[in-house]
Amino acid sequence: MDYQSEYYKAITYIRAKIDQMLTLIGTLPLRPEELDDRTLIDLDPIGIVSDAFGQILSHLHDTNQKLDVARQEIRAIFDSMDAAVVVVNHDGSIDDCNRQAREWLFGDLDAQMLIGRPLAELCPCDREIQQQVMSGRGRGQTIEVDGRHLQIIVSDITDAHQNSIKKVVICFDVTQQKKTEASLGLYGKVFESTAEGIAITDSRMRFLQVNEAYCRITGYSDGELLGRTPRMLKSGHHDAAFYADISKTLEVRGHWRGEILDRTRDGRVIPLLQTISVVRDTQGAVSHYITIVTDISSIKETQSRLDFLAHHDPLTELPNRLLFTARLEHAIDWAVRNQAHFGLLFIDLDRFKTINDSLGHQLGDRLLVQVARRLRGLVRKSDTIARLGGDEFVVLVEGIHNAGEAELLAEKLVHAMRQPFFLEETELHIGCSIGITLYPEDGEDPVTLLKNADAAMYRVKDFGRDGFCKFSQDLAEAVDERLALETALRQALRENQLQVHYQPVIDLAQGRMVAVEALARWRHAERGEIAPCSFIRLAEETKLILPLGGWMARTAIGQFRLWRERGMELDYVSINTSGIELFDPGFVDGLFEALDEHGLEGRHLQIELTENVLMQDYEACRRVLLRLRQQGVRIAIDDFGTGYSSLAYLKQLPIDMLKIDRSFIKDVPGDPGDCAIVETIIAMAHRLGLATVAEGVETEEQEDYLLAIGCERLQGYRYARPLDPVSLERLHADSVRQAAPDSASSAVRVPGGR
Amino acid sequence: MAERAQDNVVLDIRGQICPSCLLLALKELNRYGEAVRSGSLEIVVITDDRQATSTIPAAVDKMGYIAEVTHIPEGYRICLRGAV
Repeated sequence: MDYQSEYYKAITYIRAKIDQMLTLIGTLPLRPEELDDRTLIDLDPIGIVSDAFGQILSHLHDTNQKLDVARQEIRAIFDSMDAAVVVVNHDGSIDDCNRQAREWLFGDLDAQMLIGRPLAELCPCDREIQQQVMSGRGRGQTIEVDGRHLQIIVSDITDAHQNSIKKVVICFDVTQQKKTEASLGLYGKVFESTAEGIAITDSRMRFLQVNEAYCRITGYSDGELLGRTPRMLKSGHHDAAFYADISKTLEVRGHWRGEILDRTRDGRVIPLLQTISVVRDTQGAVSHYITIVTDISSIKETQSRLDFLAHHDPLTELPNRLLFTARLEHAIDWAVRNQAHFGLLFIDLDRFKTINDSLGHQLGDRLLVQVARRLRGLVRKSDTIARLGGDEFVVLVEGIHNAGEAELLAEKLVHAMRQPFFLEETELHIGCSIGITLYPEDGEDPVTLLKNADAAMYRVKDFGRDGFCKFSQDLAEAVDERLALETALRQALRENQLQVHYQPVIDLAQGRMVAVEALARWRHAERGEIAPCSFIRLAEETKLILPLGGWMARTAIGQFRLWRERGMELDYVSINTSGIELFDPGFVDGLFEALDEHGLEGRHLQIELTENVLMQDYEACRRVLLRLRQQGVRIAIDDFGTGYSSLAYLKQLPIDMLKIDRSFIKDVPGDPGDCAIVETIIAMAHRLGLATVAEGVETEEQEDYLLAIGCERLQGYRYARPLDPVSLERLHADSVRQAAPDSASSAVRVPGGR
Repeated sequence: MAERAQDNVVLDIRGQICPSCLLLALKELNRYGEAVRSGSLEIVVITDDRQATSTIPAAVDKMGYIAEVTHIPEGYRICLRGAV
């Protein structure tokens, strides 16, 4: 064995292994010239390096243990984070994710099901956002997943060469923040857009924030308000006590609400409805005041307008009855205390109704406005002029001493009303009638004063209108009389004290009684026979004509039916109809029901209207008459020639007959003028195909004349006055008997006739 | 060559070059490892070999020690202590 050779081999081997170990430890190889073999063995590099490796391994072990703990710590933090964390590999697969990510993003799938799978397959957000996230552009982006708003933050994990190897995607739940932002935004909008002015002040009442409405209401810009206090808005209309009360209420109750007058920037004083609330901090100290104001100027204006309308006539803007009565009561109170006098002028326009009916309500209204203006111009400021309704006005004249002063004013007013009015280039003439009462001699309360003035006014109307009349005692008696008559009439109607009498209509050509006119008769137990002209007019004024007319129609129709059953050959029964009845909605149906009830036809009934009724409301009148005509009811114009009807109506309305007024018949054939009128009427009627009846025929001469000019139907005392049913039946029987043997002309001679 | 001074073991290896420097430093660490690791002892290596200022810190770092190198007039002072 060559020991020398083996020694070298061994030393070479040892040196090689030492170098190998030194390389591993990161240093240079040992050079033989630096360390001889003996020193090498003494130094024991293999032992040193092995021990060092032992320490390295031990250190690695410790480090690994610490890393394990650290990893567990990180995992615990990772899973307990209130954010979803997803670690994504460079290839887009999921490397890891925390509990919150599984819950919020991946439908609670197990981590095992997620890790390694592509994020694109599992992530609920859209592809574009994913791409933005993976490319690093999605930072700060917010996504919505199942109603949860998540804000994304992406971090890169890079290798030693700064190459991105993973991305950590962290999603924070910002739902609550979003909601808070949204509600703050909403509060902001409410604050800015509300119609109420809102101001927030600090504890020393200095404006911190005001909204647009507050600026609009006060006229100040926010720049002018901020830092200053509401004292700048003081109007000077409230005293110190008012503001002290607000402060005290705020202190005690925490809020104050009330109306306040503030001054705007341009100096206007505006009414505000103001609510102030105290805001306190957690310690209970006042931190802010919130003031909400509503501009109630328009409400106040509306209130005063409503108040005005409640007390004034909207058309003429004059005080209405309500306000007038209050003023009148006040005037009475004052007069009682001061032993003073005052006057009341009750004004009714003449011919206003005709103008209103013929020219239309619109023009009528405009005329009333002009009348009001003219009247207002003539009375003193201290006098009250009011419109009670329709064409009735009243003036309260205070501070006068005798009737003469009131009469002087009345004369002025009457004169002024005589002057024409001009409307749309139409010249209108009206005039007025005025009744005057004085306090206290003509009444001591509002009702009596007004009633008596009204009565005095009617006296003027009775005497031909266009004037004035001071109330007097005899007038009072007339008023009482009228009232007594009205009460009696009501009672008569209730107790069936009225009767219907019938006056025949004679047809000379046929030589027989062809019809009867029904007329109301009232025999009062104490007063005796009351003239129809007085109680019919009263009935019309009090509207008692409606029950009276209805009763008349039913009675007359029933009587007619009875006579026909007894063989009396009458063509129809005629009843008088007033305008009030004609325009009553139930009028036509009432007549039809009465006819039906007695099995009669329309042709058995005739209604008589005066020309003035036709003029009241042409269209309404036409509608009613056409309905009657459809059922065959006859229509006659009563008192023809005395009214103011347009002859055109005779053609346009369904009229059958003209009854020539007695005033034209009275002096024929002696008076050529009346003859001309009567002949003209008859000729016209014939041309229009209308029948005629002459009323009030009394003499043989009249009869001969009328017959000669072609008027064959006659009515009057020459034949019979109105008779009760029994007398009329007897008369009819007599006339039939007399006519039978000799049917020559003037055969009808009625016993008892004139 | 090595002398103890209070809590420090000073290893003056001036004149030596790597890898001897590293081996001598490691030898001392192997000997006093426990004490150094616990913080009761520091090993101070005084060397004038520049290479040692990188090889020694690199090696002891893998073993879990900290090496702090400071320049001194004689060369370099490398203080080895346990990682806290």
